[in-house]
Amino acid sequence: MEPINLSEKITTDILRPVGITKSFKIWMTALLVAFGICIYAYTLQLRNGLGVTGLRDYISWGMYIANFVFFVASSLIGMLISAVLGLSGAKWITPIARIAEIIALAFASVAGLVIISDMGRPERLPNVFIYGRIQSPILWDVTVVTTYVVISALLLYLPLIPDLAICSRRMDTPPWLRKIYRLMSLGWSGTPEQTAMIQKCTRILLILIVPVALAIHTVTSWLFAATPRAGWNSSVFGPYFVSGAFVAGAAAVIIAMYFFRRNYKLHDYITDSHFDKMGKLLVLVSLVYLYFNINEFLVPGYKLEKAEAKYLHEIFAGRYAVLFWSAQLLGVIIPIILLLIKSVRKPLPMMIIAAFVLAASWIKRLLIVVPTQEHPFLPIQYVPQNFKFYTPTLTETLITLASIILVLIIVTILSKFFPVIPIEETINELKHGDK
Amino acid sequence: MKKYGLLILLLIIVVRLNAQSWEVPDDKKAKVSPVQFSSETAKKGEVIFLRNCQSCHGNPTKGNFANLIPSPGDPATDKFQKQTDGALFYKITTGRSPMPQFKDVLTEEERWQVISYFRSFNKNYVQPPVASASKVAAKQAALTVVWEAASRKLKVTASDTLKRSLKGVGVLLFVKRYFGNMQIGEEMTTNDSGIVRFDFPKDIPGDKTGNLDLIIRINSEKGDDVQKTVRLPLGVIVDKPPLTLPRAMWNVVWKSPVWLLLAYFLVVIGVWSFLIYIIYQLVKMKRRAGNV
Ligand code: HEC
Repeated sequence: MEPINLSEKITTDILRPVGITKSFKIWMTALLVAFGICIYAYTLQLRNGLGVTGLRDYISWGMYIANFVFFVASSLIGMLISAVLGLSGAKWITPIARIAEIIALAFASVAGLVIISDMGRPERLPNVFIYGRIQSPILWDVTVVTTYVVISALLLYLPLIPDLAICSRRMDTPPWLRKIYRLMSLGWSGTPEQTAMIQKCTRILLILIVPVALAIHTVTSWLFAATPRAGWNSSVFGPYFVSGAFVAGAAAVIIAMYFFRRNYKLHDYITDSHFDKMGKLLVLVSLVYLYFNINEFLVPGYKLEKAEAKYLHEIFAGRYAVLFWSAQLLGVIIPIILLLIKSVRKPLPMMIIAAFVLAASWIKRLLIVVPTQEHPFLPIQYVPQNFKFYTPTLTETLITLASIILVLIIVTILSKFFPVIPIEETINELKHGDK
Repeated sequence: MKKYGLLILLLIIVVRLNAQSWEVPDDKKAKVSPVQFSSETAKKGEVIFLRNCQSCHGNPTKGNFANLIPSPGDPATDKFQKQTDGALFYKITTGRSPMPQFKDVLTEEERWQVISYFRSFNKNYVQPPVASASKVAAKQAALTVVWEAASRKLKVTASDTLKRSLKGVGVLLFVKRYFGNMQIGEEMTTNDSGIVRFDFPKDIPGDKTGNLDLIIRINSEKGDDVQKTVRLPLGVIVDKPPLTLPRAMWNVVWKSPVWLLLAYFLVVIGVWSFLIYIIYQLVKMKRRAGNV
């Protein structure tokens, strides 16, 4: 096959789904309608205050904060795939690196909004910055999440610039869209100088994102671990969170890979071999996560210190036992076993397993956030019954759903207007392969 | 083990028995309110109740009082309503652990208002005739305070508007503290010249210059208490450096530990200078391309 034709085929294949199609319109409308309903729930909360949620004096962090931790966690995958694997020279990640970046950016940017939904008086948000205390992990978290969003956006954008130039030259794109592409491509013409600049900056970002991504989830874990409460008072919380984050993120990427490949007909680019490798990656990170889980629960479970014992009893055998064990079994242990089998590492079974892993990751965050608060050191007394245990309300669930829908909207828009697979890079790699 | 069980049982019985016998002296039982109860006094009483009593006694009629031993009980029930106003007044005034004493916390007027609130839940309640006009219309009283250093006594003179001394008036002395007023000595009654002398202790911590805020109060049976506040240097000088002086984790931002400030700002500036560099490169690329 002639290289020229090949690159043309690649360009056409990858750009085929780009643009406004009928199915895009239907899917977007569905998302927006659902989002609108959820936003109505949020107006209820704005009007009536956090009383519409299940949050009360003692359990003041619930679904929102668990969801925030989950979002931050899922966004870490961008760093693992692009930076850790990319810098170590793994070539197979080229077609999925951008998918990972899109997921990272979508989750990270909505995470900030999720925090705002947990505020009864969101108009007081500026006070966090005006009166923020540098001593507080909350301020560190705000700083590091903002930084991570910017790095992720740049890391998505820089390698996209050459592709944007390609897009802007395509005749069958509406003129207004071509104009936007041209604007965004910053006058890219592929000169050696430009190529060198983009390569250098991308490299800086890839190195920078490793500590920043580790920091974002470590600091998120400190929001809990910096308090001496049973269940949070743990010195392995940082790495425990980070390893859990890779599990959630890898699962999210597998699900995204499955649907992009199917809906955008990218079978030639996202191949079974990619799923096979991602399956192995998921096993690896899950094993590390399992190791931290054992540390996190076995050590305090062996000592059974007084306050810790009450909390552990609740999650091992009490109110949260069913959730806890199903999250551990269906979300960690069984997926590890299944994914070790070669024939399971195929797109459809992996997508299903990844869905379980992702759901379990979400539940696991809820189990980290809530039960601890139900067991403070001083007993909860003289309060109404519904102050003692946390039960999320429908309004709260809808608002949480809104954030998940928003992530889907962002992922859809990014993947609809920009090629989800790097065109230029794929062509270059094929050319080098031919040589 | 059995022995302990028996002991605990005995203890519970004793506590329970004890709970049933909170004796009120007969003269106190007979005491009646000097103010006529009305919906207005009940309203005021409700505010006081919600602030001071609800945490233990719950909301009247709801029976949601705290689970303490002895039981606080619901003020709307017979447990309270079968008692005379005087008995309730006495119990609120003196308290009995864990029921706090409100002698120094609420004025007599306020205590009567709470009782008025309690009675608003009792349709059958008929208020006994209010106490006859008392010995003193306190509103017209004036208090002068003199510190007698030699004998360490605080001399309080009560007089009326015409400078006539008021005799036989009950005077109370408090020192203002962070979370309420601390009573000094007992209530004292003025002598024929309208004078009382309080022994003043030596060891009450004051501020940097040893100042104390003293509150002198005449409890009027009519409910119109008079109160006077004076600041006198009668306390021990307490001049400790404030905890917020040294750099510390709990201090304001600019007094947080140096290592923390350095770490935070160096990391933020370090990372962001790279990001700004990259954005600058992009802008440069765009500008160059535009020139071509
Ligand atoms: C710390 C909890 C607590 C608070 C606060 C409290 N009480 Fe009580 N109260 C009790 C307890 C316990 C008893 C029962 C004491 C006993 O029987 O020895 C009680 C008993 C009483 C009684 C006597 C009831 C009886 O059966 O004879 C009265 C009257 C009363 N409280 C009024 C008040 C009022 C008025 C306030 C607020 C100004 C108040 N209490 C605040 C705990 C409290």
